[in-house]
Amino acid sequence: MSSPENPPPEGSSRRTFLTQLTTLGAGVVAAPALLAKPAPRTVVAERVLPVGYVPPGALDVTLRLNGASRTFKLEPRTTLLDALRESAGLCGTKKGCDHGQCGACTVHLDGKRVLSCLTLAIAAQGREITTIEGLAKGDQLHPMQQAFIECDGFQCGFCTPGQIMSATACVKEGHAKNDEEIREWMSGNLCRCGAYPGILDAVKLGAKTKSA
Amino acid sequence: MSTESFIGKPIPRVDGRLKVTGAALYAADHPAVRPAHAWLVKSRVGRGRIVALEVAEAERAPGVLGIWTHLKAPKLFLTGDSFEEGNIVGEKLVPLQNEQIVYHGQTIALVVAETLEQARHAAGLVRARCEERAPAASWEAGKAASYEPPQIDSEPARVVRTENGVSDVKSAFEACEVKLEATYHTPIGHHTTIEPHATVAEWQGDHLTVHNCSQWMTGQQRALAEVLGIPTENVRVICPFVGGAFGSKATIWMHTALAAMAAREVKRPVKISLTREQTFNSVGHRPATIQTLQIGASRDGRINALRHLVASTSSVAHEFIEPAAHTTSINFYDVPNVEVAQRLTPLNVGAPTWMRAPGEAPGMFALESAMDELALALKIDPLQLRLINYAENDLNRKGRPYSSKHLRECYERGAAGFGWDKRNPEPRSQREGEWLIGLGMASASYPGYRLPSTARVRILADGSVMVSSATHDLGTGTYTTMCQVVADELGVPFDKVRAELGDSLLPSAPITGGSMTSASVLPAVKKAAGKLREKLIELAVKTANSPLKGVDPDQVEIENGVFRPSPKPFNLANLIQLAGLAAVEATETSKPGKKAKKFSFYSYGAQFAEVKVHALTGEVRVSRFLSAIDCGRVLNAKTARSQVIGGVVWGIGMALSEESLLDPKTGRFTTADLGSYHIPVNADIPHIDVLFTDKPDTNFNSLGARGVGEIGITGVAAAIANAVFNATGVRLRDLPITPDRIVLPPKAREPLS
Amino acid sequence: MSSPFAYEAVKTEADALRVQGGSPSTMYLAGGTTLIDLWKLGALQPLKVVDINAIPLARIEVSASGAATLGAMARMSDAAAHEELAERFPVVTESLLLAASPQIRNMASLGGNLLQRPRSWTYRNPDPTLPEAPGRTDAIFGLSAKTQAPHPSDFAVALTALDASIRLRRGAGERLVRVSDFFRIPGDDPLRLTTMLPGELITAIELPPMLWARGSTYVKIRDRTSYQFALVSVAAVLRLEDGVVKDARIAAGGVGTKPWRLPLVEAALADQPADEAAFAAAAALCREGAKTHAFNAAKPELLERTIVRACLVAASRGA
Repeated sequence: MSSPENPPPEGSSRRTFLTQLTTLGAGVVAAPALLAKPAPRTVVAERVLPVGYVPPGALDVTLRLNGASRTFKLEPRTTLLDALRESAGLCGTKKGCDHGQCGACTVHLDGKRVLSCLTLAIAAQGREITTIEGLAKGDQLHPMQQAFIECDGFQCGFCTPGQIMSATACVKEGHAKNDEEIREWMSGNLCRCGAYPGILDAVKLGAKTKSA
Repeated sequence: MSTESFIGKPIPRVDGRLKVTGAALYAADHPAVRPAHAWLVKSRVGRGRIVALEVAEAERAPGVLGIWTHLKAPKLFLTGDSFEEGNIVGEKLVPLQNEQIVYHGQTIALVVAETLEQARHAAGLVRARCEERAPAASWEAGKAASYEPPQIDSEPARVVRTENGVSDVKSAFEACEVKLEATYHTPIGHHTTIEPHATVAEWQGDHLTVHNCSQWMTGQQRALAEVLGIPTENVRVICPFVGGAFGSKATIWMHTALAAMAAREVKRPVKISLTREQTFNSVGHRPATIQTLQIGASRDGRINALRHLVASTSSVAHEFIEPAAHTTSINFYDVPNVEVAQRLTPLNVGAPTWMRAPGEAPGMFALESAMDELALALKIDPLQLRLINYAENDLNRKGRPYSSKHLRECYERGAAGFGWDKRNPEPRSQREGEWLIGLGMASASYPGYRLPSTARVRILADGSVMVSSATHDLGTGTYTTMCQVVADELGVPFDKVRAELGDSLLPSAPITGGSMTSASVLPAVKKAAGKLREKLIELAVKTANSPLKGVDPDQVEIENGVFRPSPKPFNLANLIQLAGLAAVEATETSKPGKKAKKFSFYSYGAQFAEVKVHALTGEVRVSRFLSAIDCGRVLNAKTARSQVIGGVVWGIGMALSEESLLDPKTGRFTTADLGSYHIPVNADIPHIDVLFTDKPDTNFNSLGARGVGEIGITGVAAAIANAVFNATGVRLRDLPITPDRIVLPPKAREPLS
Repeated sequence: MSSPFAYEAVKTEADALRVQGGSPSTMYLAGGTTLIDLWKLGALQPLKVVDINAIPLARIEVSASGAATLGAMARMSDAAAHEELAERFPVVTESLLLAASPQIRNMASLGGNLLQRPRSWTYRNPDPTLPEAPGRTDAIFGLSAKTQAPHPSDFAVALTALDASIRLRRGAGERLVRVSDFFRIPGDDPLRLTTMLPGELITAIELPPMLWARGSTYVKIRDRTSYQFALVSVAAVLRLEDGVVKDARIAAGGVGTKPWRLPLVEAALADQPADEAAFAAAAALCREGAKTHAFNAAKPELLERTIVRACLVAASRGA
């Protein structure tokens, strides 16, 4: 899927996901219908939104997103975070503070954890960008994702994508040797629900489980 | 009934997969088609009047679709003010309607553009010239305008309760053998949900849909309709996931109304996400408090008189009361002579609002710190002092019995689990290397609230079940507990049940606040599931060709989705198909019963903290914590435990690092980002033990649950402050307890009188 | 603000200097952790950014003499993970590891670290003339009527204690500036935090050959355990002989509008026994010249205690 998707033809939004989410017809909220156990295959990767507007000064920016090249019309000032959320339809990466003070927007750039809110999209060209949507293999969750569920490593879930991206990097860096080290090296990701003990347990469990 | 019970089990969250894959859709994630992006322009003046607003340059900026100011904005309306009606707004200050400025960060313009970057840029080009006046932005500056509010919830601002022959509580206090007087201070606090407040507003004709950060579907729906001047039924609010709320997403805030207004004007969906700085000034905060405690006791530890006087900050734009004494000292201990009173100091700040345990959080800090100080003066173990003054009945409700109070068990089990008996009452007596070690404890308390609630349970022909209510899962586990209750009550396998919530079209539920969702919504879920079970059995014995046709319905049960006894295997899906139906459903409303007036409902707890304090440089680190909680029946051991842990983490932040500061000259919050308002990080949090009494409060509701969202934070800051005293001999009555305050403690504050 | 800007990526120092051309509105983009942050706030308004990430300036070399060269584009995390550097200059490694968060350390360059701005209103809003409010984090040294904001870099405090130098390139020329001359007290011109000239590019940081820097540490005091700027911090380097301090370097963070060296304390430590009493007596001299107000009155006390603590750690390593 390496076609220029931005801007797509007017009105040709690929909103198939909406029909997949809506099980009971009009009047029933879509998203929670996904809450089947076991949950159905997630369809977020298919979400592509039409913008239909090219701002003055926009350039072709090609990003390697979760293994696929995609080209967008973006201004140089567009951050990677805003490109992911507003143009690529990858809303799993969250904007918590937009100033490098919370970690919610953590993604991997060439395998290293960075903050997408302080990264320009145009400067991320040619690098491998991995977001939370790229972690699972099809229906098979990454062991760290599974560990977060098992250890209740979240409550509201908003900081969770950033926590998980940070957690997988933390393990890979070799900074998950003991509780104290994990706590310190996970301190760049704020969680206001206070799920830190569960996050600690999840990182330990995820580190033990061999990556699928 | 099902053979397997799901209630109480540590079942992982049913929404977990969506959250760990990034697929859960929060308000700003809603995939609107061609949304325009809105940006707020905020006042850089704390008080005054806009003299000139230059928008021409901004209007010419690329991509700008419109700019609205007080000179050019559609009329918006102030709502009614009824919690029961739900038509209340977070801030009674309708934006863009006049030139007056009453706080720094007040919205003075709205910019809408094609892209987020363009909107942000153009917003920066709007120039305001203001006539400036000195804002009231400190206790001192606000003092002249301070006042006693007419009422605090259902009580007068000053409540005095004396035993026969006692003229006033002050005299009773003065007459006591041992007296403790101390004045405490808690700063302004902010919710800092990691999800900034966001709205996506879309119109279809004269019907509005908002994807909005919410913890109160019906309230937001009604209030938003009133602000916009349209019928309630024309507004739909959707919020299946919310990225932290803690009180700050209950009422609507005006950016939501502005987004809706702008969407109507530009005839496109409009998306707005507050900046982090904006979330500090216009979506609520916890007021600061000054609290003076006077506690008088006899030498044996019996408290005879207790006065708890409170001053709290409020807003000139919006009165808000943080009821620190009315929720705590008024009835927590068995004291014959009690006086609580509160005054408000209005400041030029945005509206305060409910923040996790409003009242109890600062109130229990002061009361439970004072109890520790009194215990020291009496040379009585702090826990023993609490047992001596244990309240068996609610003295503020004429001695009404507590419905289900197991605080004594919390104290005892907590003390045993924590090793309280090893505490040396002598300060600075325990040291590990460079670190002084201290132990402290405090009590926790939060009322049991419950409001009427409706739920629907529907089974489809494939045997899958959907339970629906316009409530929320704030990370509290509601999706999961709703499924647990249905699985048990209907008698179906857990994985056949799904839950939907967070849509104002669903059956009505109350505010997801006050720790009342489990206690309010789940009884309705249980009732609806029970009703559906009856309907299905009725259908089974009446439907032609049913193997159960003609059987006495009282003899039929549903277990694991299958009718029993039955001459041949016959399950719910078989029945619905046999009956030729698409679905069978039941909708039920549940509300507080007659017992609500006979008992007093509270959750309780005991908090135990171990801290280490650096002997030289005064950093305080919590090294161990135990929370023993009496919250009625525990519905999900995993999510309930997480809720308590979350409360404790909040308490640790409140105790050690969280503080919002105002510039007294301009009224600007100087700590308006996550780099300077310090919520705890992972490294601040030790292992936290949670114990539950798990005693069902069946007087309260059919499930016996009281809810667990707020109890966890109460008392935590006091337990830590008390532990810091035990470690260092330094008594800090001003929060937060930071290294600079340890090495050079602030001067004692003037007591309130 | 957050105006649009043009973007150009360069691969060599020469190209960087050429494209930047000494224009105040053309700004270098390295890790982005300062530039993008401040641009969104409107506090920096580049018309053009020059992406210098591809310039090969990321090498970290420790020579046989014990000197070290840290490439300006090395990331904080790379420098922090450098084993030989950690062995020879623990104060540097610790100052890096105690700063920011793992994600930011993966992004921020060492050169950019030195150019970060204080965290006050002066530096974080579009109009630097708006007044700051007094607060508990305020500096106590190097104050002016305009700003009391402490310099935020931890790394720079370690460099100040070590008397490191900053290698700067401009056009074809190059100069080496001592770190004490690199930072300036902002005074009435708060936006000028360094003595860099228009168009200059930091290419490296030079640590002097200092074998006794093994006896060093960086102690950082803050409210929360991690991810916070220093309330007070101290970089201490001690050379001991037979339990006596022969040479001492003490610099402090969180207290000065630039990284603050404490020569009086250093002099008082010299030729004194390496014990807590002597450290405390010397540390008391840190209060000389400190100016406080109601909100930061505890800073001198906290600084004094932090010096003692840092000296105890440094002495244990230097012994």
